[in-house]
This record gives sequence, structure tokens and C-alpha cells, in this order.
Amino acid sequence: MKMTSTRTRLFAMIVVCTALLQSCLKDTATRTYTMYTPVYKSVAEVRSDIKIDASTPVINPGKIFVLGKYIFLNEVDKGVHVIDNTNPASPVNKYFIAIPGNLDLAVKGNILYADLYRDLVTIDISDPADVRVKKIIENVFPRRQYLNGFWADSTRIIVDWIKKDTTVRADQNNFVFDSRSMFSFNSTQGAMASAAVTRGISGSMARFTLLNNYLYTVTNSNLNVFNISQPENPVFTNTVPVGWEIETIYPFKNNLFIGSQTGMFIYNTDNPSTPTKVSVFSHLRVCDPVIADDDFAYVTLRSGTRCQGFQNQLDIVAIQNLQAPTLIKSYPLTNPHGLSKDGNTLFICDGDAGLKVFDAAKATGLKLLKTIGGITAYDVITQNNIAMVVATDGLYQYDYSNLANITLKSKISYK
Amino acid sequence: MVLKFLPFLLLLAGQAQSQKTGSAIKFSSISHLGLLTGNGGEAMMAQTINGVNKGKWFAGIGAGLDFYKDRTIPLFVDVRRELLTQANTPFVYGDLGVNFSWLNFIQKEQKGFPTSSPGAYYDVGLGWKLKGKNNRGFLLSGGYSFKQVKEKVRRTWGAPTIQMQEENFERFNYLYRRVVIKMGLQL
Repeated sequence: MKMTSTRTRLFAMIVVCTALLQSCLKDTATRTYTMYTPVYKSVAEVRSDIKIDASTPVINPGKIFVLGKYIFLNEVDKGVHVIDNTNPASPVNKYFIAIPGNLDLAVKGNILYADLYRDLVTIDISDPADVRVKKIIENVFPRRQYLNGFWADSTRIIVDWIKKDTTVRADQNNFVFDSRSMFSFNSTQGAMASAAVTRGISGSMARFTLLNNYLYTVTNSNLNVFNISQPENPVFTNTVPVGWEIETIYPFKNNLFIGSQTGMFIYNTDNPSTPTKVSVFSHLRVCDPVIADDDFAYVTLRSGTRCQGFQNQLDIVAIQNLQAPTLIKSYPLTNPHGLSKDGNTLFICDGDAGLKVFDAAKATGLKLLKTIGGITAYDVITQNNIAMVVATDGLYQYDYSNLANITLKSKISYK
Repeated sequence: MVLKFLPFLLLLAGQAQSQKTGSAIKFSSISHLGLLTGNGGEAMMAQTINGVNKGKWFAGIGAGLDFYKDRTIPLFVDVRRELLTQANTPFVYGDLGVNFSWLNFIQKEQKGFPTSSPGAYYDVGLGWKLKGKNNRGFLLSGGYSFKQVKEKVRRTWGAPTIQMQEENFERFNYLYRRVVIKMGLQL
């Protein structure tokens, strides 16, 4: 009798508790995302902000350019770090040239060419204590636009973005979309300076490049041509429509190799002010930095959020006949970005998989010599047996004079 | 899927139990199969808990498979106490631990292939134990269960520059609250 009573009470307790818990049975979810609010300045303010400062820590690096003993490293949307690399084992971050909105650069002698949002700015850097803006060519990168319906105030320039994390309920489908927080796109890189001055080298991710007396830049769809026979006074000469989703430009001999998300374009510069299309090597929609030598073009294809696609590989394309580039062989990779070749040695930044070093003596039989792991490599420049690697956490320099024993010479860590 | 695991778990538990009987502190194993219900629907769950029994108390470490909304694996500490000394007795229990996400491919695809990190897990309730020999028994219980799933997904929208886009993530924090009804064996 007593047991029956206990059971009844327990059963009643369970029923009551369950009823009370009904209000607590709601699944909930929150979604946290980052909203970006633009910070504007007037055009005059922005131009007056171009100046050289003492070195500042590298925080968010972008493109890299090497000229002589100096490394020029872009700080995304902020300017250019000037690093004295006289001793690769101990590089010195010497100056910072503040150029708001800067993403790409090239240097010829003492003249720095850089994008300043929509404009091309020419800066004399011969005296680090007194850099001078020599010329500004306005609105030559008009495709620096923002997506998803956002339009910047055209009378002013966005110099920064304020990031703010925002949390919303995700279980009620109240998806908040801020039309102010979109996505911008710009263009430019590359380099190979005039024979008359010190030769500079750009990374393979570049959108600016120097070839003889011309500066070539690519936007999302066009190839822009600037005559720099008078380096301090570049003249905007021509715009050549190329296609869409243009990403990189690389010079070799008299040709320009232009990487896009759908293929590699080869342009001839026998008439340097009006490059003419020679051929196209098409591939599926992915991102594709490209470099070239006498016989082959090396194209890294990578997938990803922005790049779309599913391919992650190196394509080696025969270009002995520039009119008919032919795929020789593809090599699978993890998430390849920039690349560089020195003699028969090919360096590929393979994203999270690190820096890969190949013996590329035979295009049909690449041999992996070494994988330098532990870094997420983005771009690489090779010079004088030193591989300068832009990674997510620092600028690394490796000595590869002995390929059997590639050693880390130095690292400039980002803040 | 769950039923495939159950005989194996019971066998393991039984083998361990057979090694130690009659002492004050005894190894004991509990295997549960259960139903979870909340406003996200109904789902199955399975658990195995291994620990020690002393008198009316039991404490052990458990692991489970939880199919409520997102497939997850809770790892937890279980403490329970029988309320009576009779052969058939009510008991209370509490589990506290961490919840690991183990999404299937469809779930991953639907969510944009997120990266997950462990969340919280707890389960408290009341039950009834029908005792057999050596404190073995059949268990029936009902309770309230909570699991958390934390995920991070890369997003293309929202970042004003390509560079920012590379580091643009959305973070999700899912809190699932359910009634749980379990039956099982204690060996």
C-alpha cells in the first residue's frame, strides 16, 4: 500500500516537472557576425596624409615588392612598409609610408607607384625624410567598388573601417543584413623595372608590373598602361579591356601573363602602349596567380570562398608557341597561392600546407624537395638564394643556397 | 545505428561487472537508449556510463550519441542516488559535461562546413529502478537535458575588402533544450 502511494507520488512529480519544463524546452541560437562601418575623409585630407613615418609594426600585410636591398611590403589599405634587407638574417623595418587605401605598388629607382583608392600616386622616395608626392592620376582604378548594393560617398574616401561584432537571434530567422557592410574590390600589382634602373621584383599575386618604360596595372576587367619614361611623371596612356575577374599580372620578356578566375591571358607588348592579346589558356573558375619562363607558364589554381571552384593544383602550360598554350601536366596541391621560380627551383605557397619547394628541371616530372610546414604562406619572391615569404603570421626569409638544407634566416612577426 | 552499439556495450559492462562483486564499492555499468523531444522534434540517443556503486550512490563517466538536431557526442560525469532501499526504487541523477559536435555530411553542407568547438552538456532527472541481483537492474527515467553546439563559418558577405573577407566568420551558438526519456540496464 505504502509502495503504491510512493509510486503515485513519483509519477505525479514527473508529470508536474515535465509540465513545468515545457517553457524551458525552446531551442535557441545566436549568430554573431562583424559589421563594418566606413570612416570617411575628404580627398584633400587623404592626400595630405601621404607621408613617411618611423617604422610601424606590420599588422595586415598584402603585396610585396623587392628592389635591391629593400623590401616594400604593403599594409592593406594603410600604406607601405620599407624594410632594409641588407642582411636577410636581420632585416630592419625602417619606415612606413602612409598611403591610405593602398593595396598595390611598384618601385622604379627612387619612384614609388601606388594605388590610393581610385587614384595612382607617384611618390619620390629618394629622401626618406622627405617623401614627395610627384603626381596623382585620378580615377584610374574606378572598379574599386563595393558589392551588395553598397555605394561609397563619391565625394569622400573611405580610409578605415570600424569593426563591431553584432549578435542576433538566429532561431527566429531575423537575419539582419547591413547594406553598409559589403565588400570592396580593387586592382593592381607586379613588377620588373626598366633596364635603365635597378630591377625590382614583384610577387606573383601582384596587380602592378613594370616592363621597360611602362607601368601596367590590372583592374577587375582592364589592363591599364602608364608611360613612365619620365618616372616622376607617369602618363596614363591606354586602357585595354581584358575580361572579367582579372587578378594578377606577370611580365616575361615582351609579354604580359595575366591571371584571371577563368584563365590565363597572354599579351604582347611589342607596341608597349597598346598590348595585344596573343592567346588565352582557359580553366575552370578558380583563382590563378601565374609566372612564366622561356618554355612554360606555371599557374596555380585554388578554390575558396572568393575563388569558388574545386581545383587546387599547379598547371604547367607550354608556351613555346605563345599562340597556342598547351597544358603539359597538373599537380595536385592543397590551396596554392603565390609562386616564384629561380632556375630549376620552384617555390609555391600552398596555404595552410606551407611553402613547397620543387625541383622543376622537368615540367612533366616535378619533384617535391621540401615542404616547410607550420606557416600559412601567401606569396613568395626569390632573389639571391633568399626566398621571401609573406605568411599569415610574418614575413619569413629562407636561405636556399643549399637545397638539401633550406634554413630560416629571419622572420618579421606581425603584430 | 544506435541498436548496433547496444549489445556491445552491454557485453563490455557485463564483463567488467563479473570481475568484482560483493565488495562495498563495486564497478557498475549503465547502458541507455532514449528519446529526446523538444521544439526541434524528436531524436534518439544512446549512452554508456561506467563507474562505481556504493550503497545508494553511483558515480561514473559517460559518453553518448545524441541525434537531436545536430549529431553530437556528449562526454560527462554522471552521479545518481537511489531514494529507497527496496528492490524497486526511484532515483535521481545528474550529468554534467561537454558536448562535441560530430556533424554528418548533410549537416555540414547545410551549415557551410563549419568548424566546431565543444559546448556544455547537462541532463538531470528522476527515474525508477527495478533491481535484480547484485544491484543490477532495469532503469526507466525522465529528465531535462541541455546541449550546446558552437560553430564558426566563413562568410563571403559583410567584409568590405577582399583581405577582410579572408578572415570574415560568423559564429553560431546553438542551445538545445529537451525532455529526455531513457530506458536501460545497470550491470
